[in-house]
Amino acid sequence: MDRVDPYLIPALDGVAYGLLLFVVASGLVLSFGVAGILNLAHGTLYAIGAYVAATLSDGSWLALLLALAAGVGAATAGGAALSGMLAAVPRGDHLTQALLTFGVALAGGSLLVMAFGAENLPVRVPATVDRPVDLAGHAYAGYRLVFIVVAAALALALHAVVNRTRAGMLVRAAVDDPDMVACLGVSPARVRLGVLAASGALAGTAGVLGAPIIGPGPSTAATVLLLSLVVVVLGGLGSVGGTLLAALAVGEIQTLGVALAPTAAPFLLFAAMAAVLAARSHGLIRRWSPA
Amino acid sequence: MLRISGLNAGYGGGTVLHDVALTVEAGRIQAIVGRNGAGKTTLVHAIAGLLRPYSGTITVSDVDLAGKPAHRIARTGVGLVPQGRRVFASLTVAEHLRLALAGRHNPMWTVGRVLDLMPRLAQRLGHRGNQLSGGEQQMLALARALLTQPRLLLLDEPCEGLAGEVASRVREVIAGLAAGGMTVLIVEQQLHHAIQLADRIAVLDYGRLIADEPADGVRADPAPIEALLSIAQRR
Repeated sequence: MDRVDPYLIPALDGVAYGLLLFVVASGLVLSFGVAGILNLAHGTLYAIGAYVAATLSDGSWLALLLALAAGVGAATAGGAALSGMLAAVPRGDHLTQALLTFGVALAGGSLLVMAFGAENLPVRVPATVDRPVDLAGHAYAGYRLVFIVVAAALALALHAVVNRTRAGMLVRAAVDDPDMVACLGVSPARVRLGVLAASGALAGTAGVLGAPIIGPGPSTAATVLLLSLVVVVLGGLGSVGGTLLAALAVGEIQTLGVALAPTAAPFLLFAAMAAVLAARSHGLIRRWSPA
Repeated sequence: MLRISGLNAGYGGGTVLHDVALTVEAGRIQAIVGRNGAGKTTLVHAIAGLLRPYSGTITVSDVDLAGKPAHRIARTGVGLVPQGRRVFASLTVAEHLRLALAGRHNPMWTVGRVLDLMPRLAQRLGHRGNQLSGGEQQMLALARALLTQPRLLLLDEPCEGLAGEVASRVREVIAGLAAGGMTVLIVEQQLHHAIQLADRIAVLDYGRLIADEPADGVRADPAPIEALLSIAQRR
């Protein structure tokens, strides 16, 4: 127990961090796996949610709910706007998509700094969940425990949507064969709009709820995008299970890994990514599945 | 029903179909035969909207479809059973059927009706596309296309790779559809497959339609068409 004890908090932090990355990265998986769009502005959509949370939060539940509505709404609209901007770019033209969305990310990042300043902003959470909780003699941030529960519920909800709803069927079918989806009379443009809006909604949700963990600041968009891309590469495209597993692994590497091997910390994440890719080039799990 | 004229289409600037003209009357089965690479699938894709033609017209019931996107063409009543079946690997049979039928009001083809026609699918409702045999996948691809309520059904080598008995069952189903008034365009590599079903048989060679004959005549004397296919094969 004594040997495990010092690592309890970093391990729990890893779960919170991993679940946050799962919510963000599943949006990226959706946009790439279903719409075939490499969206490098995805981190910016997270940052929008985080800035909205920082601006509106005053320590009350009402403010958190308002921030959630406004942040998710803004990021959803951002995703939908990206869909419109990318309408003329062919599905397989990832270089143009990457350049366009990278440009949007740069411009969006500058606009956010102009609007909110170049400092990292603090985010206040409702007082009832702001208290530390005693965990095996360690004080642990109550909000992080709540976040773990909420993010786990979001993961279950996403799993249910993908596997139990018509929208989920469409998503899985579009991952398998978008041309055949079109031959059923479903407009690919509508699928792309829906997917990018949903992808933005996930990023915005993560931004608002995860702002106390990865807070709003000038480097937030880039950090979140980079970590999400690592999760996507590790988890494989089109797999809820793979994305969750990869996100939790990245979360643990970023927290428990640093606690266990501080000197190797800068290399751990990318070494793990290289190792997974060397062993399984398609990621941990291949596609959307009930697993 | 289906009228194609002056159709030129291809990929990346290269022309595969050259000035193709074809008319298929309502309720008839038109077969297109040709060797591998003759342009049969390109023709089907151009009609279904998966490939934008360079020029020419494609009308179905006098509605010009050339260049329209695949989802609009599907909504005007053109169903596709593609080469290789292309069922959705991660969707169950039941999900395929629900997705194909979604949003159709007063459908002529219902899930119950396609399951009556292809009862094997009823026993596999919970299986995913990639868990089905080739014959079951073909039935599923056909059921999926029927649930889009087509007036014109495009079938790209529907018996390819199927065992004799299964292929016969697929042909029976197709013949039954035509008997019920469905217009069918079927693409086949082998003349003996096409001859069993079709009302007319056309030969496509290097993207050009070089013959279009009533199937009765071909059945009575297949030699001229066989000779054309043999010449095409040797070239």
